[in-house]
Amino acid sequence: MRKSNSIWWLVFSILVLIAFLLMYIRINQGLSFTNLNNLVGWGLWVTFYVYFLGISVGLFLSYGLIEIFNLEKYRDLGRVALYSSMVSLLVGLFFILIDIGHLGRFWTVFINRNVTSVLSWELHLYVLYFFVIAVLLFMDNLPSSWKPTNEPKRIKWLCKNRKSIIKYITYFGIPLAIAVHGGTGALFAVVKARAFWNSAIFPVIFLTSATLSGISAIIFFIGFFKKLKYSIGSLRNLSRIFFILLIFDNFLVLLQLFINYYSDINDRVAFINLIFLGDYSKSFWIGQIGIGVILTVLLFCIYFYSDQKFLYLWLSSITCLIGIWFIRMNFIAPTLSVPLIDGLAENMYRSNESFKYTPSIMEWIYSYFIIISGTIIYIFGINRIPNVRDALFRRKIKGDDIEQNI
Amino acid sequence: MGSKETKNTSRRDFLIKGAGAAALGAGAFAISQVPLLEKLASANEDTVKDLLPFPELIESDEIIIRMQNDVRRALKKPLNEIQWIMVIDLKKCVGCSSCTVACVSENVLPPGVVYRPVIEEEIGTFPNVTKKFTPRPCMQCEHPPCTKVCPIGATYKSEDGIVAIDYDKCIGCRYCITACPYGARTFDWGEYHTENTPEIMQYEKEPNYEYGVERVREKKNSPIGNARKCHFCKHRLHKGMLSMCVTTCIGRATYIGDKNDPESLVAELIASPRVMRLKEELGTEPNVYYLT
Repeated sequence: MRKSNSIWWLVFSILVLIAFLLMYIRINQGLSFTNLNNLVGWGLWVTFYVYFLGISVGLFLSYGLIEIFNLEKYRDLGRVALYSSMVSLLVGLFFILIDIGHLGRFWTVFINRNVTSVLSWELHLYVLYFFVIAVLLFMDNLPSSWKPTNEPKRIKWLCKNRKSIIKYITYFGIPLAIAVHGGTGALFAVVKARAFWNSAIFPVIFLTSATLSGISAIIFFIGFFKKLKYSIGSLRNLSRIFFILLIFDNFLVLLQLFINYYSDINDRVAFINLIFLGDYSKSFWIGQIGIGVILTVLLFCIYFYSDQKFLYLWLSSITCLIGIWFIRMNFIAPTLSVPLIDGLAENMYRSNESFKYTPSIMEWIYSYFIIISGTIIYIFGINRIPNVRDALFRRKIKGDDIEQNI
Repeated sequence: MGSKETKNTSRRDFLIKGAGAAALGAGAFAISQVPLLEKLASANEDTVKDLLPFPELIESDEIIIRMQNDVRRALKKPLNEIQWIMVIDLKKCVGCSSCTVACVSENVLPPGVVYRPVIEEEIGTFPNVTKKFTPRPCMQCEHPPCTKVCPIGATYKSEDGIVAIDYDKCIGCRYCITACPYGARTFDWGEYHTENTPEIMQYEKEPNYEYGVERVREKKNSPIGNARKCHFCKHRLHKGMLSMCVTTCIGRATYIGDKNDPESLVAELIASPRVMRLKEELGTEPNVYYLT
């Protein structure tokens, strides 16, 4: 056995052991160790689910545009984006899996459908979306020219028509990805009981944030994988798209907040008060505005006006990713913290019942474990998927001035 | 020795003499009160003569009997022709929470799972202050937002208008809880009232009969990990009994019956100008009517 293989075996064994332990606790104790309650029933895990799904869709859309417009300079970035979108999707789905009350029944969503439920549509779309990514990844890794070997004829046909098949699946994949995350936004937007969510702009914000997080993730990968080659021109374009999306996303968020505040409708104003001045003000002012907007814009400006040093853009992408997480968090828990009927909460008779949601330590432990597991699986996959490995470690782009500025 | 005997004799004498004096005193007092007692007795005879004969049923019992008859009459119809509704007279509700407690007992509800809380509201400022009590069962909406969003159709509107949950189907995603505008759904987190005490009490392990199925709450099994809600005690209604909250309401403020039966008490009550429903503007068409 190769040394690297034995290390992977060890890592996976440890992961599986911890996973068993955590799942044992989760199954035995249910959700009682979380700080969720009957008032704020969705919290940290749902935030992570939406967040990782957004990154996945953002990365896929980036890949799709590169593929459809045949942007050769970005090809390697596209490949990394495609693979990353798959892992990100799986991580997101794992978060929603552990959040449900009956883990063992999750599969029944595919046999007991409800056509009026957006969540039901979504769950089916996730599966379809996963298969689209998997097929694209498979097709992308087929050799472009078929060599006469013992491979069956079908493989020969696939190799021959590889490019056009990829293109057509990508054509299908882009609206699918939009539906996946627009749908996730719609999942909240259709809830008329929650005044802040119940807005047509909500799915649009989700999509914009998703695209922004995808671009941010690509910039992050460029800095993280130091051997990932990119051209100065492509980076410049990426940084512009990043900044435009950052402004647009925050403009939409601002619009949503402003219109809700201006409405003078009790529930809407109550939400604004909660995040501006109430229990969630730290998360809003420090996380969403401080890190997500001010620090991100500041770092970007430093990047832009100081010889375009990549480090600043890279840091800016990280703060942007953190900021987007806070947007998700601030849109979910505080909305649920607005009382549906005044005085109702006082009659719930449970010590845990509170309008202020702060994730429990166990919720964080589970979250870290899922993210670390996802990262390990991601790194493991990099070395097993030829084109991704080449893109990250070997391949060089021809005909452009390649440079790394870190 | 001699002195001890003298002491005992004198105590006995004192007791005998004292008891005799007390008996004489009491006798003298009784004799003096005879004319007054005779007077009182004759006055009582006159009063009794003026009273109406004792009624067979008091008014609130009549209401109960009428509602029970309404329920029994409704059960003779096909299920899809019944529309169970609840009427709550807010002027009669005294905020005793007996409905809440009875519901908890009937459905063996754990902490946090409250089907019928009574919302207390203080209105006005001193000295013009009053308290308003609003019991809040599930509204059994005509257009329930909760059934619409359930990804697996585990919650549905049954034929008789009651919104039910299939505990064996529900995955516990809590989307319905989020979607209910009345906060009428709660999640069973798997806790017990007597948790963290030496022993979980037997009454928490008793079975409940929600939706006509006998269930004991046990870890990992439904309804733990499910969304739960008021179902107007569907299991009782189908046996011709009234919902538990209706039976135990001390102010007789809660009524149940078939809206589609024009002779039912509830049909009569909702024709009042005092009727209102919660959050009607959302288009949910609640089936709980309040008399304000």
